[in-house]
Amino acid sequence: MRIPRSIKTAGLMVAAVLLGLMAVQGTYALWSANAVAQPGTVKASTFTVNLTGNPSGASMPMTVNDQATTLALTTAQAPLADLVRGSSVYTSMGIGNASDAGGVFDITVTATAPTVSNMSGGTLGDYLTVSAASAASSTACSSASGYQPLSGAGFTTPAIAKGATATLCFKVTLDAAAPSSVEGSSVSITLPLHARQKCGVPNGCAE
Amino acid sequence: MKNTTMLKGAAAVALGGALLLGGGGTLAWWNASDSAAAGTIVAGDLNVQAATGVWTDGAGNPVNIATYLVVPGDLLTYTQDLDITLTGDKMAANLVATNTDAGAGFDPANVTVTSPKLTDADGDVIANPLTSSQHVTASITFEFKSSTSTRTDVNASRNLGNVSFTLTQVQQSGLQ
Repeated sequence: MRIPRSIKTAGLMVAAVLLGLMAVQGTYALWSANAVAQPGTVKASTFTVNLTGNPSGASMPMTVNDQATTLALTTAQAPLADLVRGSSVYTSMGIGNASDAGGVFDITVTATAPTVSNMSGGTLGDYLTVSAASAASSTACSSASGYQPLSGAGFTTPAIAKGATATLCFKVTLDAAAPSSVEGSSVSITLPLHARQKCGVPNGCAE
Repeated sequence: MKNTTMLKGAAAVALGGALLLGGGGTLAWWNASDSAAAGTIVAGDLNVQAATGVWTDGAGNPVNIATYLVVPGDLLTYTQDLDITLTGDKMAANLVATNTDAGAGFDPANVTVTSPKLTDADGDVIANPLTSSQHVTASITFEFKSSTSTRTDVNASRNLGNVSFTLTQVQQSGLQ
């Protein structure tokens, strides 16, 4: 009637497990309470900057589907005035900060070196200088001060607050020493613009 | 013969009285009695109650998270007040906060969401086990890093899920 060792071992293990479960059960039997909080959902704002050309009147966001857009400041129906040696012509765009950010959201817009393309093989572009400045309105561009040539770092507007608009003026100047060969020529000028968020959140940026 | 009967009756009465007197002698032994009031056993209490949580911006101003839209550079803090009730001479409990069911959203490289932090009235991180009733504050921060570039995470959203605060009594010396 000897009990095999394996059965004894199994019996001991079962007893140990039972004791263990009973001990755990004792711990679970102590009091506990629970409360649940739901912080909610954090949502990011849009980054929408709207541009309006003058004199073209065209308007569009700077980006559509995360792709940069192109805005015509002049058209055949809304051309700039004729340019003569030593003088300037002006064009401008309205910049609207249309962000729906919950807090402060200031932006600046920077215009950098333009690409000047001569039309019909001319050389007019070699004698043009493009500069930019801020003004209170498009009609104030010709009298605005602080024009900066668009080379190197270019020109950056002052901060444009959420919901606010600003006017960025462009001045195209023809060198007084331009040869007569450029008369009647035309150029196409492409101005890259870059909008940046300023660190304007309360107490500065987190890092 | 009648007199004899009367005498017998009187003797019986006398014997009964003597017996009664003898019994009275037993009642005269020392005796004492008293009563004790065992008292009322009162149970302690263990509870955790969460008040309404509050979101604040980097300047400490309250914001409505249902309508507030974050931008890079925002640092929002969620603060949750908890009232901890712990009574009982051998009461001790651990308070643990866990964040569950949080959703995705936002590039992980652009945001930092901290785990719930539990602090006492002095602002120090609590040390479990707690042994007395107290006020505890839980906080979570959401940082939208200002290093976020281009238009990354525009219109992104993240559900922070549930924050569960569990207060569990722990075994103390003297408890079964």
